[in-house]
Amino acid sequence: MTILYDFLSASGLAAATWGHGVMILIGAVMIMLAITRRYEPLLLVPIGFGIMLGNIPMMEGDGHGVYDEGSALYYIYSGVREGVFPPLIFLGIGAMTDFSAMLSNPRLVLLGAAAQIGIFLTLLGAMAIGFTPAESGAIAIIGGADGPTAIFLSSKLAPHLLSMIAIASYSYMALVPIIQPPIMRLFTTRQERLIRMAPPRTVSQREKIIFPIVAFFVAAMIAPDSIVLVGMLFFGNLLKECGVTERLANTARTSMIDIVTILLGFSVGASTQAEAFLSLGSLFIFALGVVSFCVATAGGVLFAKGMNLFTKDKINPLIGAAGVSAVPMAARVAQVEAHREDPQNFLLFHAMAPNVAGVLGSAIAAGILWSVLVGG
Amino acid sequence: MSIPLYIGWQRILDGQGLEIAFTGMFIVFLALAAISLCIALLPKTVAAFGGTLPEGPHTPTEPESPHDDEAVAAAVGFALDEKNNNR
Repeated sequence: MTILYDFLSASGLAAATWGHGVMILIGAVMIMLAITRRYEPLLLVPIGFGIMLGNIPMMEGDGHGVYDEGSALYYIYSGVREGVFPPLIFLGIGAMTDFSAMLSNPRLVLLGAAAQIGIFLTLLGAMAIGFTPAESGAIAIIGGADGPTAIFLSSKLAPHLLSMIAIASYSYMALVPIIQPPIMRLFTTRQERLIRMAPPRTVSQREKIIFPIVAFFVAAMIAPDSIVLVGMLFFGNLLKECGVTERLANTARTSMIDIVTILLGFSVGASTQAEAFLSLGSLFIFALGVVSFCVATAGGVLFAKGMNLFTKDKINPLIGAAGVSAVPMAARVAQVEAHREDPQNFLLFHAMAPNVAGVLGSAIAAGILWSVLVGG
Repeated sequence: MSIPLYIGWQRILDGQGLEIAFTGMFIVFLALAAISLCIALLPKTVAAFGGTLPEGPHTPTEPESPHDDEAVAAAVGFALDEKNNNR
């Protein structure tokens, strides 16, 4: 009887609180959304399961969690804590990204810059509410709609907010098809949504090979603190385009990125703690994150409209929304919205240009915030 | 983490928020505009200096690794062996 009592008092049930229950429910909802609605399943399933695992109530001193030094989860989570996983994800993204759309129409790169306004306006909002400058920078990067970048920056600027920022970032990335369309419709007229863009020019293989090298040097010289992310992105792209390292590129864009995504998603999920997560602070973070995302979307759309005032070849402003990064979901949303108005209008290729430029823009913005705010 | 429930313009000024936001946005635009310019100049650069680079996608004429040959040979050998055993 004593053995049974000891066993039960050391079990999860004895240490359970309502907070654990809510967190486990959140994890289950994420898994359900991924399976039934197909919302970013590759991310939400590992994160959701991680949340459930990380919130199994344990007696103090059991030492199995991501914060318990020596545990297996502690070592897996070190890839997040030390900012190792995000650059590896960027290597994989680089190895799977085709920059042809951007190379064929370089002016669309500016849309990727315009959408970063969400990051910097949210920085101000977070500071106004009372977050420290470093915390504000980490929260603001949610507007970049780039999970790895958000994790990378928050691990440097505000490690205590990392799990909330990562969850918010990935949640909003999954909700791109829901968040963006109303904003895109609000800021555009039907006439603008019907604009058909000129067919892109063909990009030579030589251009594709030279581009990652040149662009890396330009980005690294202007924003040196972005080299960790931008450097890995362009290195991965060079592996893809140079034509002689196909095996390396293939590994980077398949096995490697899959392994890192599993470890990153799972350990980020497991790092969520009910006490920190179910608080007023995290509500603010989620609210600021969605504001950041909406401002970024509007910024891209409005900038495209502004460019149309000065250019002869009109840009369909819907593709401005793809400047928020979230590759390739945001570009797909632009295509879907254009398709609703005109089934013969194909914007996907054009939208990929601001989309990949947005990845660059958010990585550069992260580098700037890191250099300015570290220690803040 | 304690967050007072009022909005503070002073907090933005104290934290140099405006300077950070303007400078950050400027640098992002500068970097991407510079990349955009480089892309616009890329065809001319390629014409001038890219002569030694391949023109089209790389099509390997030889196996990328001797291990590939061995793997194919092993697979063929296994298939023949299975076929013979089934007779």
